[in-house]
Amino acid sequence: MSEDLTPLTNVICGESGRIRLRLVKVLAENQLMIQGYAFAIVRDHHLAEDVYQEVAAIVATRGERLPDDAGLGPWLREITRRKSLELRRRSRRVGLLLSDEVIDQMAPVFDEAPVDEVGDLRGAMASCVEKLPDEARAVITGRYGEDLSCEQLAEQVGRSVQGVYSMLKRLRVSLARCVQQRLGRPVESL
Amino acid sequence: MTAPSFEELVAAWQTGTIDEADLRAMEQRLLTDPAAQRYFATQCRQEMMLHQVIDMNRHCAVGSGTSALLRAEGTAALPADQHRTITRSHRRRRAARRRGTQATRPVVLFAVAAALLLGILGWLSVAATQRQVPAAVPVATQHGATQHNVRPQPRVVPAQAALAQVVVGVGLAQRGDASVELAAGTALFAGDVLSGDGLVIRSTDGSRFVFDGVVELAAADGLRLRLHGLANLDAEVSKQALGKRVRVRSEHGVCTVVGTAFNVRSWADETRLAVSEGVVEAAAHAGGMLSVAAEQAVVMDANGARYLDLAIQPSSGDTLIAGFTLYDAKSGAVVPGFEKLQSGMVIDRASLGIRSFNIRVHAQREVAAILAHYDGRDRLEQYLPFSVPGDDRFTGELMSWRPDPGRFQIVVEPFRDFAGHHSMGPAVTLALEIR
Repeated sequence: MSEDLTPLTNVICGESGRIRLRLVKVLAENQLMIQGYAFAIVRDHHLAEDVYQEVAAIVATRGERLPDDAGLGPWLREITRRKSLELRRRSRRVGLLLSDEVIDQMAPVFDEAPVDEVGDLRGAMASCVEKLPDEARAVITGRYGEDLSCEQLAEQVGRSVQGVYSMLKRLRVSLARCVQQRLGRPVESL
Repeated sequence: MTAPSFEELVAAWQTGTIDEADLRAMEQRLLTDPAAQRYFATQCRQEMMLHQVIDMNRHCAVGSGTSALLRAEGTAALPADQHRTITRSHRRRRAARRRGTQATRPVVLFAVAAALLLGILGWLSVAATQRQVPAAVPVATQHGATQHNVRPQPRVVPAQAALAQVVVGVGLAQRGDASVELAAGTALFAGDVLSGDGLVIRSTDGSRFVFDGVVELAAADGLRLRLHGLANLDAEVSKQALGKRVRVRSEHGVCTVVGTAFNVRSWADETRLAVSEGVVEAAAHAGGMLSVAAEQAVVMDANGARYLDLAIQPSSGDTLIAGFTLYDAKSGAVVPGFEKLQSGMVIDRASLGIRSFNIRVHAQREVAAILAHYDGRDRLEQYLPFSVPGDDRFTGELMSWRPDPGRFQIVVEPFRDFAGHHSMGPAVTLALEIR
């Protein structure tokens, strides 16, 4: 919790208000880390969202017993990892999934990203999607909103499967660039 | 044909079109290349952000309802022809899965029967040489997955045998791509990554381990356990055969033992090792190796390994048990005005509006466990945070305590070892009155 908020929240809401604010802050700051790491493990958007909900529930029940700032990241990652593996097992997802060794090694990397306000990122992404041409937006919507496969998308937009696949790849890159530019950051690439 | 670039591999993984060989290639890059790791993490985050933005847009277009509700209706909300296509596709996949299962079932049954027969023959041949072999040991593949349809070897290969067995508790083991529910009696193999809370396992040499967190098993000149992240492990290691060692590895160092009882507790910034019996060797990743005997403890962190001076102990347990806090067990919140519980305080349940309590016991890091005596009961708390009557170690939910009105005492004794054998000093008493 930032120093400037503490006295104010203590006056307005007391101890419980301060704890609640910290919970909200923890979840907001770590939402993308949790969801991104969960996605790396389960490779499914909906499941990754479910993992986030489960983690949020655990964070909420912890109250003031959350680890301190130094221990928070590893604790959240561990909870995310456990919940992701649990949901992955329950959903019986097999194949195309990362090995445990990679999942382990990747864990701290998800912490390295700059802490953004999720709202800023979402706003930037939304306006970048809005600027896409109609066909591109239809492909993105089909893929991310309706979970359509490349085959189904190809049928829908009248292109080849390979064409849709390439289009998705290009769109991801251009959206990433657009978001980074809107946030005033250098474009990330390999 | 040129090999696909890393970006292409990730794109294929994202769209679910990657094959096994390319997945392994991608993983190899992820294991060795920090830039590739960062790129991959960014892609995963972006996937989720994009999904949320699109989902939100669709939600707005549809009208009322939550995104979760929309998700549940996802398929039904599609145009009728598309819905049929997807339904057909799902049916085809299910049918193919069924066909595949039916086609392979006789083969699998035959293979299992053959494996059992050969296994019995193998067991008999080993028994003939007076060697004890666990009955019906499944054969593990290179990746740790149990495989029943391979031809068993006439003799048991040690690396493929079960390393340990679950004694008590439930949990989950990742075995290659498969997940295995853990329960009493489950055999454990090299490569298994176990997640559990208070899971008790016994290795084939009779050593006993209790852990909380994620632990990976391996075998090389003895059993190896690797603690992943925050973890807590209590071990009673049987005397090892010549050349054998049990090793416990954490983020900060390695503990090597030949037969002893000890506790390893790993935090984000350090790992602590406390030895109850025998000798343990502690080697910090940052440098420094120490032999730790019974009644000694070391800390390993980014600066190396050093002994914890347990000899300098307070005359009473006061400084080790730093205090108590009253919690409402139902809400999990601190009861205002009772952040620092002190003897003589009165708890008036009616005025506070709470029915069930939980009392947090604040202890120094040196304390590995506490024994709480209350209401004629004894409770050994081995996991942080210590509380009476305890809490769920994973979810953090507090257990309820509803004492009858009147005066009562909680007596708390600190221990340096996990099992509660070695007291760190006199107990601390908290006397309260309940109304």
